[in-house]
Amino acid sequence: MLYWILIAVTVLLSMIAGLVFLKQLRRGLTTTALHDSFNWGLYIQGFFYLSALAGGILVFVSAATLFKIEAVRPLVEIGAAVSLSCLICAAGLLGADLGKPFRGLKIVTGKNLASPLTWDFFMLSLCGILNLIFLAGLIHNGGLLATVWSILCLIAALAYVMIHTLFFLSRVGAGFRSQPFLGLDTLAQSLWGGMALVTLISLTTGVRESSLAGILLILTILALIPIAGSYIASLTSSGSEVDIKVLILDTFILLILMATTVLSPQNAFLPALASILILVAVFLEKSHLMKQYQMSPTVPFPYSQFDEKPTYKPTAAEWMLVLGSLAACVWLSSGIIYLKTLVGGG
Amino acid sequence: MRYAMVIDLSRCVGCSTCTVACRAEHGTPAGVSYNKVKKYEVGRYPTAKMKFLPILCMHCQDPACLKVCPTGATYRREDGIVLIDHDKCIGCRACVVACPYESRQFLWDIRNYYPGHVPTPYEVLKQKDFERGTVVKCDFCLQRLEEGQLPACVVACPAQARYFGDLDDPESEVSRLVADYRGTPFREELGTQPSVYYVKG
Repeated sequence: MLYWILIAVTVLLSMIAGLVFLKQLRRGLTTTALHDSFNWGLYIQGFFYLSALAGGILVFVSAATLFKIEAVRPLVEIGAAVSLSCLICAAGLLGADLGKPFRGLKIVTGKNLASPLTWDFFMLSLCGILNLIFLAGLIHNGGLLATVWSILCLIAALAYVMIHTLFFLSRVGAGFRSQPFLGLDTLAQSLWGGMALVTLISLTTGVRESSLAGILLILTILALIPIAGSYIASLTSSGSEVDIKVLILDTFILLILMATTVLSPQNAFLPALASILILVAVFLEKSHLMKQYQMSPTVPFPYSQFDEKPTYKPTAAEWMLVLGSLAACVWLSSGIIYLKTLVGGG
Repeated sequence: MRYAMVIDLSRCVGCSTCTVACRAEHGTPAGVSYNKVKKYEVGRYPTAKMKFLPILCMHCQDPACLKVCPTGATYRREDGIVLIDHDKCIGCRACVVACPYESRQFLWDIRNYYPGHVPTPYEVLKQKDFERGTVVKCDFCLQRLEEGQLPACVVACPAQARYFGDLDDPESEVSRLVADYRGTPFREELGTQPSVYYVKG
């Protein structure tokens, strides 16, 4: 019953988001709070977020397939469906952000291989195709095909996650401060968020795997270190960017997971809480990423002396579209799993 | 042939005539400027001074905007002018984020100068060239160049602070100005090799 209520609510949210998108198609991006000084906002943040989660899950799926870990096979099957849903919704958000969404496919004919967006498009598409091949039941544990599939999947997923660190590279070149461990941080956040989702899948489906909490703990440390390192760097060089809220939240998550591992390894509530907090932390980190490169004028001081400091507060329409996309991940994943069961693939 | 512009900062009085002339020439919608004049203050009272920096598309030889454009909508002509093919522009705004000179603007909407009123005949005539959801910028008044005229901002500048010509021709006015007055591009250190030079003549 609870499951069907969840599906109904998420479908409703997605339908509202669909209406918001149609309105936006008619009125353009004036329905957003974006402006000349803050060009990429909540949509791109949501795109980075969902694609990071998809990438993290895909790394888990491909690693489990590569090492033929049979115990987590049910998680891998569901994980692939969730990953595909996240990729579809991420693409939807990217489409919502484009001024001319129906021209998006011109990226294929553009063939500008110097553009991070081109590579991002190809790698995301490749991940989508590989995901579909897996969900079609063509990849089994073991064999040459599984090995090739896993390696391709790892390369494509990790490639697009890292490509997302290149989008603001020109801003760094133009004098914007960047946190010194951005690449490691982006990669860690993706793996961390993906594994948090896998943990949630494990807890909700009852497919328990004892090593997940340990992996989550390791990834928490991996995600915390670059942020803590950046914070230390910000103490030595003025202007270096760290969101202290994220640092505190990450530390809190680490404490929860440590407590779980030491005191109560069989406890399901604490890993679930930690996983939800991880998903929030990754979202906040993506928000910080968007802001740190757009919250001051591009032209340096003193020429921008009288320019207003850019501000950005997403509109209700933007929030609705992003929430609708997140909700769509839930019912879309369920739909894919249902369809897979129906056709007898899993 | 490499088109270039030289701006003499010692002559610029910050009147923004270039901005108005550019808007009039292109008929840009309200809120869209290809040509801006940054105003800033140097020194302290009683010797404080107001200074001006006119900024437009620098038509870089190695443009950051061109590299990041995923569809090839941004391209560079043989004569050095960087243009946008609006039929290819998908409105991703990667070029706007990449440009270190704030020279590009996204058309969030096509706004009129008199809100609540019908567009003026000139707005109707000019704004059909603009497409919401795409990126626009200075094109060195390409249409005027093809007719043998100078860009509108160069002609309109009352202080004659702007010069335009072929930088590949050592005898041209712009070449001599750059050589004689040590013309330097804005933010030269970025390595984008702009075609707009600033001198203090």
